[in-house]
Amino acid sequence: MKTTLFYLSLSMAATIGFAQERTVRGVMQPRPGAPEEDVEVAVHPVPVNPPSVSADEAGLPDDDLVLGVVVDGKPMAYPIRYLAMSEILDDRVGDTPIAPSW
Amino acid sequence: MYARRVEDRELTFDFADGLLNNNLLIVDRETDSVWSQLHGKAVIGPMGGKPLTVIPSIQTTWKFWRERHPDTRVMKPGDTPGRPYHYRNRPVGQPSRKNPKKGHDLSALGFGLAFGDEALWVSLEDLAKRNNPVTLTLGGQSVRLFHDEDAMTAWAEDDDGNLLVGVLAYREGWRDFHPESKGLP
Repeated sequence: MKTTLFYLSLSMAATIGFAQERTVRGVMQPRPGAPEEDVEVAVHPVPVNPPSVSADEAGLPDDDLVLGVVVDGKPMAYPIRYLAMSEILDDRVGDTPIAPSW
Repeated sequence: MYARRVEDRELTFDFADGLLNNNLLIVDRETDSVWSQLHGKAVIGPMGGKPLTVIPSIQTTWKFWRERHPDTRVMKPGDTPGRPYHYRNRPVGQPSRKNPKKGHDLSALGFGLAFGDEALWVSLEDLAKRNNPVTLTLGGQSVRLFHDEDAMTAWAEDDDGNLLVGVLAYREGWRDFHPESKGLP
Protein backbone atom coordinates (compact mmCIF):
# COMPACT_ATOMS: atom_id res chain seq x y z
CA MET A 1 0.00 0.00 0.00
CA LYS A 2 2.78 2.42 0.95
CA THR A 3 4.74 1.58 -2.20
CA THR A 4 1.65 2.17 -4.35
CA LEU A 5 1.05 5.54 -2.73
CA PHE A 6 4.71 6.50 -3.21
CA TYR A 7 4.66 5.83 -6.96
CA LEU A 8 1.26 7.47 -7.30
CA SER A 9 2.55 10.64 -5.69
CA LEU A 10 5.64 10.64 -7.91
CA SER A 11 3.61 10.43 -11.09
CA MET A 12 1.25 13.12 -9.82
CA ALA A 13 4.20 15.36 -9.07
CA ALA A 14 5.49 14.93 -12.60
CA THR A 15 2.08 15.65 -14.06
CA ILE A 16 1.53 18.90 -12.18
CA GLY A 17 4.97 20.25 -13.16
CA PHE A 18 6.76 19.70 -9.90
CA ALA A 19 10.30 20.99 -9.98
CA GLN A 20 12.85 18.50 -11.12
CA GLU A 21 16.36 18.31 -12.45
CA ARG A 22 16.11 19.01 -16.15
CA THR A 23 18.07 20.25 -19.14
CA VAL A 24 17.22 23.26 -21.25
CA ARG A 25 18.72 23.79 -24.69
CA GLY A 26 18.88 26.83 -26.89
CA VAL A 27 21.05 29.35 -28.64
CA MET A 28 22.50 32.37 -26.92
CA GLN A 29 25.30 34.92 -26.96
CA PRO A 30 27.65 33.99 -24.10
CA ARG A 31 28.11 37.71 -23.53
CA PRO A 32 26.57 40.71 -25.25
CA GLY A 33 28.17 41.26 -28.64
CA ALA A 34 29.72 37.78 -28.88
CA PRO A 35 28.71 35.23 -31.57
CA GLU A 36 25.79 32.98 -30.69
CA GLU A 37 26.48 29.46 -29.42
CA ASP A 38 24.47 26.30 -28.86
CA VAL A 39 23.82 26.03 -25.18
CA GLU A 40 22.72 23.29 -22.84
CA VAL A 41 22.17 24.10 -19.19
CA ALA A 42 21.38 21.76 -16.32
CA VAL A 43 18.62 23.16 -14.12
CA HIS A 44 18.56 22.49 -10.38
CA PRO A 45 15.35 23.03 -8.39
CA VAL A 46 15.60 25.39 -5.43
CA PRO A 47 13.44 25.92 -2.33
CA VAL A 48 10.15 27.76 -2.75
CA ASN A 49 8.45 29.69 0.07
CA PRO A 50 10.83 28.53 2.83
CA PRO A 51 9.51 29.03 6.38
CA SER A 52 10.43 32.21 8.23
CA VAL A 53 10.77 33.10 11.90
CA SER A 54 10.97 36.27 13.98
CA ALA A 55 14.28 37.91 14.81
CA ASP A 56 14.16 36.51 18.34
CA GLU A 57 13.57 32.98 17.11
CA ALA A 58 16.32 33.10 14.49
CA GLY A 59 19.23 32.32 16.81
CA LEU A 60 21.84 33.66 14.40
CA PRO A 61 25.29 34.83 15.49
CA ASP A 62 25.78 38.61 15.29
CA ASP A 63 28.38 38.40 12.56
CA ASP A 64 26.54 35.97 10.31
CA LEU A 65 26.02 37.53 6.90
CA VAL A 66 22.49 38.05 5.69
CA LEU A 67 20.87 39.47 2.60
CA GLY A 68 18.35 42.05 3.77
CA VAL A 69 15.43 43.53 1.88
CA VAL A 70 12.38 45.65 2.64
CA VAL A 71 9.42 44.83 0.41
CA ASP A 72 5.90 46.24 0.84
CA GLY A 73 7.24 47.82 4.03
CA LYS A 74 8.21 44.43 5.44
CA PRO A 75 11.85 43.70 6.31
CA MET A 76 13.12 40.21 5.54
CA ALA A 77 16.57 38.66 5.95
CA TYR A 78 18.09 35.60 4.29
CA PRO A 79 21.12 34.05 5.99
CA ILE A 80 23.82 33.74 3.34
CA ARG A 81 24.91 30.33 4.65
CA TYR A 82 21.55 28.89 3.56
CA LEU A 83 20.99 31.06 0.50
CA ALA A 84 24.41 29.96 -0.77
CA MET A 85 23.26 26.34 -0.82
CA SER A 86 20.96 26.95 -3.75
CA GLU A 87 22.31 30.24 -5.17
CA ILE A 88 18.74 31.47 -5.51
CA LEU A 89 15.41 30.70 -3.97
CA ASP A 90 11.78 31.72 -4.44
CA ASP A 91 9.85 33.48 -1.73
CA ARG A 92 7.10 35.99 -1.11
CA VAL A 93 7.19 39.04 1.15
CA GLY A 94 3.86 40.77 1.62
CA ASP A 95 2.17 40.50 -1.75
CA THR A 96 5.40 40.53 -3.71
CA PRO A 97 7.07 37.38 -5.00
CA ILE A 98 10.86 37.74 -4.89
CA ALA A 99 13.91 35.62 -5.63
CA PRO A 100 16.82 36.35 -3.28
CA SER A 101 20.12 35.33 -4.80
CA TRP A 102 23.71 35.11 -3.69
CA MET B 1 17.29 39.91 -5.37
CA TYR B 2 15.02 39.56 -8.36
CA ALA B 3 11.38 40.31 -8.92
CA ARG B 4 9.50 37.14 -9.82
CA ARG B 5 6.63 39.02 -11.39
CA VAL B 6 7.24 39.65 -15.07
CA GLU B 7 4.39 41.55 -16.72
CA ASP B 8 1.35 39.64 -15.50
CA ARG B 9 3.11 36.34 -14.77
CA GLU B 10 4.61 35.10 -11.55
CA LEU B 11 7.70 33.03 -12.27
CA THR B 12 9.56 30.46 -10.20
CA PHE B 13 13.31 30.62 -10.78
CA ASP B 14 15.68 27.68 -10.52
CA PHE B 15 19.44 27.77 -10.65
CA ALA B 16 21.17 26.57 -13.83
CA ASP B 17 24.80 25.59 -14.27
CA GLY B 18 26.22 28.61 -16.00
CA LEU B 19 28.44 28.78 -19.02
CA LEU B 20 30.72 31.47 -17.73
CA ASN B 21 32.19 32.53 -14.46
CA ASN B 22 30.49 35.62 -13.08
CA ASN B 23 27.22 35.01 -14.90
CA LEU B 24 24.27 33.65 -13.00
CA LEU B 25 21.82 31.78 -15.22
CA ILE B 26 18.35 31.07 -13.93
CA VAL B 27 15.51 29.17 -15.56
CA ASP B 28 11.84 29.66 -14.79
CA ARG B 29 9.62 26.63 -14.27
CA GLU B 30 6.68 28.18 -16.07
CA THR B 31 8.29 28.61 -19.51
CA ASP B 32 11.81 27.07 -19.25
CA SER B 33 13.21 30.41 -20.39
CA VAL B 34 16.84 31.08 -19.48
CA TRP B 35 17.58 34.41 -17.80
CA SER B 36 21.08 35.84 -17.74
CA GLN B 37 22.32 38.21 -15.07
CA LEU B 38 25.04 39.43 -17.41
CA HIS B 39 22.51 40.38 -20.09
CA GLY B 40 19.94 41.59 -17.56
CA LYS B 41 17.16 39.72 -19.38
CA ALA B 42 15.89 36.38 -20.64
CA VAL B 43 18.10 35.13 -23.47
CA ILE B 44 16.49 31.80 -24.42
CA GLY B 45 12.86 30.75 -24.61
CA PRO B 46 9.42 32.38 -24.74
CA MET B 47 10.42 35.15 -22.32
CA GLY B 48 13.43 36.06 -24.46
CA GLY B 49 14.18 39.79 -24.37
CA LYS B 50 12.17 40.50 -21.23
CA PRO B 51 14.16 42.33 -18.55
CA LEU B 52 15.32 40.71 -15.32
CA THR B 53 14.26 43.19 -12.64
CA VAL B 54 16.62 43.63 -9.69
CA ILE B 55 15.17 44.70 -6.34
CA PRO B 56 17.49 46.66 -4.03
CA SER B 57 18.91 44.60 -1.19
CA ILE B 58 21.84 44.83 1.18
CA GLN B 59 24.32 42.24 2.34
CA THR B 60 25.36 42.86 5.89
CA THR B 61 25.86 41.28 9.29
CA TRP B 62 22.83 39.99 11.13
CA LYS B 63 23.57 42.44 13.99
CA PHE B 64 23.52 45.42 11.63
CA TRP B 65 20.26 44.36 9.96
CA ARG B 66 18.47 43.47 13.16
CA GLU B 67 19.36 46.76 14.84
CA ARG B 68 17.85 48.72 11.98
CA HIS B 69 14.86 46.41 11.49
CA PRO B 70 13.95 44.85 14.85
CA ASP B 71 10.66 43.66 13.37
CA THR B 72 12.38 41.74 10.60
CA ARG B 73 11.45 38.20 9.68
CA VAL B 74 14.24 35.79 8.86
CA MET B 75 14.34 32.72 6.66
CA LYS B 76 14.32 29.89 9.17
CA PRO B 77 17.81 28.49 9.65
CA GLY B 78 18.03 24.82 8.71
CA ASP B 79 19.26 21.91 10.76
CA THR B 80 22.68 21.96 9.10
CA PRO B 81 25.31 24.68 9.37
CA GLY B 82 24.61 25.45 5.74
CA ARG B 83 27.22 26.15 3.13
CA PRO B 84 30.47 27.80 4.13
CA TYR B 85 30.76 31.07 2.28
CA HIS B 86 33.50 33.58 1.84
CA TYR B 87 34.05 36.56 -0.33
CA ARG B 88 35.28 35.24 -3.61
CA ASN B 89 36.63 36.94 -6.63
CA ARG B 90 33.26 37.54 -8.21
CA PRO B 91 30.21 39.73 -7.62
CA VAL B 92 28.01 38.58 -4.78
CA GLY B 93 25.21 36.54 -6.28
CA GLN B 94 27.25 34.70 -8.89
CA PRO B 95 27.84 30.99 -9.23
CA SER B 96 31.05 29.89 -7.62
CA ARG B 97 34.19 29.21 -9.57
CA LYS B 98 35.68 25.72 -9.46
CA ASN B 99 38.41 26.79 -7.04
CA PRO B 100 37.19 29.68 -4.93
CA LYS B 101 39.69 31.69 -3.00
CA LYS B 102 39.57 30.63 0.62
CA GLY B 103 38.80 33.05 3.39
CA HIS B 104 37.55 36.61 3.40
CA ASP B 105 39.74 38.96 1.39
CA LEU B 106 38.28 42.33 2.16
CA SER B 107 41.20 44.33 0.81
CA ALA B 108 40.02 43.98 -2.77
CA LEU B 109 36.29 44.00 -2.08
CA GLY B 110 34.30 46.96 -3.22
CA PHE B 111 30.89 48.26 -4.11
CA GLY B 112 29.51 48.56 -7.63
CA LEU B 113 26.70 50.80 -8.84
CA ALA B 114 25.25 51.48 -12.27
CA PHE B 115 22.57 53.90 -13.45
CA GLY B 116 21.72 54.86 -16.98
CA ASP B 117 24.93 54.36 -18.93
CA GLU B 118 27.30 55.16 -16.09
CA ALA B 119 28.92 52.70 -13.70
CA LEU B 120 31.09 53.06 -10.64
CA TRP B 121 33.22 50.78 -8.48
CA VAL B 122 34.94 51.77 -5.26
CA SER B 123 36.86 49.59 -2.81
CA LEU B 124 35.58 49.33 0.76
CA GLU B 125 39.09 50.34 1.85
CA ASP B 126 38.81 53.60 -0.09
CA LEU B 127 35.26 54.27 1.10
CA ALA B 128 36.31 53.86 4.73
CA LYS B 129 38.50 56.95 4.39
CA ARG B 130 35.75 59.16 3.02
CA ASN B 131 32.67 60.94 4.30
CA ASN B 132 29.74 58.78 5.28
CA PRO B 133 27.78 59.08 3.07
CA VAL B 134 29.60 60.09 -0.07
CA THR B 135 27.19 62.06 -2.24
CA LEU B 136 27.36 61.83 -6.01
CA THR B 137 25.28 61.71 -9.15
CA LEU B 138 25.56 58.72 -11.46
CA GLY B 139 23.73 58.41 -14.76
CA GLY B 140 21.33 61.11 -13.62
CA GLN B 141 20.58 59.35 -10.31
CA SER B 142 21.33 61.20 -7.09
CA VAL B 143 23.21 58.80 -4.79
CA ARG B 144 24.23 58.74 -1.16
CA LEU B 145 26.87 56.05 -0.70
CA PHE B 146 27.17 54.67 2.85
CA HIS B 147 29.69 52.31 4.37
CA ASP B 148 30.00 50.42 7.65
CA GLU B 149 33.24 48.62 8.44
CA ASP B 150 31.88 46.49 11.29
CA ALA B 151 29.08 45.23 9.08
CA MET B 152 31.54 44.74 6.19
CA THR B 153 29.18 46.51 3.89
CA ALA B 154 28.37 49.49 1.76
CA TRP B 155 25.05 50.54 0.31
CA ALA B 156 23.48 53.33 -1.67
CA GLU B 157 20.33 55.35 -1.06
CA ASP B 158 18.48 57.99 -3.01
CA ASP B 159 17.67 61.38 -1.52
CA ASP B 160 14.53 59.98 0.14
CA GLY B 161 16.40 57.23 1.95
CA ASN B 162 15.25 54.44 -0.36
CA LEU B 163 17.76 51.69 -0.98
CA LEU B 164 19.20 51.71 -4.50
CA VAL B 165 20.41 48.66 -6.41
CA GLY B 166 24.13 48.10 -5.85
CA VAL B 167 26.34 45.13 -5.20
CA LEU B 168 29.38 44.16 -3.18
CA ALA B 169 31.90 42.91 -5.71
CA TYR B 170 35.55 42.54 -6.47
CA ARG B 171 36.81 44.97 -9.09
CA GLU B 172 37.46 42.28 -11.71
CA GLY B 173 34.09 40.59 -11.26
CA TRP B 174 32.32 43.94 -11.49
CA ARG B 175 34.21 44.83 -14.66
CA ASP B 176 32.85 41.70 -16.38
CA PHE B 177 29.51 43.45 -16.21
CA HIS B 178 30.61 47.06 -16.56
CA PRO B 179 33.92 47.35 -18.42
CA GLU B 180 33.50 51.15 -18.64
CA SER B 181 33.24 51.60 -14.89
CA LYS B 182 34.92 54.59 -13.32
CA GLY B 183 36.06 55.29 -9.75
CA LEU B 184 35.24 57.98 -7.25
CA PRO B 185 37.06 61.27 -7.84
